[in-house]
Amino acid sequence: MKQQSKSRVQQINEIKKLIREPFLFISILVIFYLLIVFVIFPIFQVFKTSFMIDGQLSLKNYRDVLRQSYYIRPLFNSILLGLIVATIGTFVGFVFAYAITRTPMRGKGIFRLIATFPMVSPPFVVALACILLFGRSGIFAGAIGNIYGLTGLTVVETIAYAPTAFLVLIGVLQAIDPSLEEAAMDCGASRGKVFSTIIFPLALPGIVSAWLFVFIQSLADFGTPMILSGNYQVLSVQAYLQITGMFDLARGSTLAILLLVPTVIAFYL
Amino acid sequence: MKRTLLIVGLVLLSATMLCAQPAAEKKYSTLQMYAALDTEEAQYYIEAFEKSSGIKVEFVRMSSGEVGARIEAEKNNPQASVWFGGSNTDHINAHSKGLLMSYKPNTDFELAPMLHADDYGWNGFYTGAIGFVTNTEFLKKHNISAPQSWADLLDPVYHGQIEMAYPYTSGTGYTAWATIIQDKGLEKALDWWQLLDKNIHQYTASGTACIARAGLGECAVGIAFSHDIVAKGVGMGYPLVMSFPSEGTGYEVGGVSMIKGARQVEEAQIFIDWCFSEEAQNLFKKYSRLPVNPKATVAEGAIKLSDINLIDYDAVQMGQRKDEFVTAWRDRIGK
Repeated sequence: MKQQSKSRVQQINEIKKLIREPFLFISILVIFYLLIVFVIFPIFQVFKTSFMIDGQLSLKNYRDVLRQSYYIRPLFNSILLGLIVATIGTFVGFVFAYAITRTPMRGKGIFRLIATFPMVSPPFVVALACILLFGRSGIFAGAIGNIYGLTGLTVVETIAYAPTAFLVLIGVLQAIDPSLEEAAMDCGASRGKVFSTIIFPLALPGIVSAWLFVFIQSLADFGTPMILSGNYQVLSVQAYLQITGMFDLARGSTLAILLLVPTVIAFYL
Repeated sequence: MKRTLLIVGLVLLSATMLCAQPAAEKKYSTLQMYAALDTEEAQYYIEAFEKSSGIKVEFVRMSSGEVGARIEAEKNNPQASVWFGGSNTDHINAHSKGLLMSYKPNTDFELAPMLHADDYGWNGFYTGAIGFVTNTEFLKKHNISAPQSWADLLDPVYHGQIEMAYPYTSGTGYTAWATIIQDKGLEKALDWWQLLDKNIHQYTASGTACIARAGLGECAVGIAFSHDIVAKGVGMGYPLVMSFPSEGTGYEVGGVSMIKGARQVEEAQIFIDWCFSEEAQNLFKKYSRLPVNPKATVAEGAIKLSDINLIDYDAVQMGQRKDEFVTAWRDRIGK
């Protein structure tokens, strides 16, 4: 009991300290305010729209949506696309990050630029470039098969989101102490052995979080599938079409919540 | 701390007052509008309107399906006063949900019954027909001529080559679907569309996307409105040719309406009147739309509705039963 009241006093002291720093205190309030107005409140509204029918709590929207093949297929399509993009994107990001932090390769600056550059352009610009290059009348028409669908989406989203994995992983790899590797090599371990028993296990938490980041981004991506999905429908576009095309806020919100579920799970993993 | 709060409060207060000042001095308030025309085209008409009336306009461009969704979501607190453009089926659908406000425009000619709601909840200010737009290089390569009928579209040569908009996102897509329903009846129309679906490469959200895509050779045939085909395809120099189905084709009436709960009622009425004036209707030829004012001049090369075989298009029924027809389409086609 005494312990608790002591910590409460500490807490109060900390709050007092915070108030004595008005600039910091106001910024925190502003950020909280923005977060509530622009993130939490809208999500809550979407949540409410999907669960309420004529002011009553109901699961009817979910039942309706989960019964139709044209809503379920996009859900699975989205998740499949996310799995593929996250895996390839993390691999590409890791190769870049490893090459830049761990090898004596030349031109690291250029490779770092290449690895982060796609972040600058919105994904749909990459999608348009993809059409102009690999589309039916593009310069390299047919080079990677039919780009409208899973293939094109995978290529474009991997290019667009590998930088996220790269940025996460480069931080992780840089933080691994090189003296561990040197010690292992001194003891006669091969490079492969060093990689598989030291670097990879140490980087694994980073790899997992990079993978989850890319997975979330791919799931939430709207611009690329809007342009490139062809007949491979994904949930983000379906939710949008449901709201804009059918005037159907309730089901659109339901789809949006369904999209939110795997994203939130991945975020908290 | 108190002083900081006081200063912040004062700054906010004076900022609000500064913002509020100029608006109070104007005679007309700024007209808020949702435009279901392409941005460039909407801008062209709206600038002309601003010049001739002196009323300032702020508009947001959306597809007509999006406008419908938006005004339904905002019905307790409407953000715009006018819905400008977009297929009248969408206006009729919104009107049947009680989202629009009646206004009979002041015109110097008689508005035909197909061009307005019985209570003038929406008014039609231009027309256009559904047609096919075909890439000429594709035709040359396969040594065929452009499709001349709906039946031609089922030819296996077009496998994965036809594009159009989703019937549930675009007025264009829905008009094409409604045409088939009126021609064959709902059940046969669904059967027929399943055959057509094999030849469809993809459905797009926007009604005009397929035109440029056919022009670029990303697909062979697009199904769209004649005025869009002329303005965005043939007229832009793409290797495209326009044709019309011999069985008869559907047409759209472009609607303009006032949104229920509009805040700028007077300005909205002036705008709607202006849409039917000879001055405004003459502007339509730049985008190959067919004017409804008989005094307006028609664009050269643009077709007239009287030149093509039209079905007896029942826009009112198609608008009121849109949800039913679209759901039937989705249940069968699964997209």
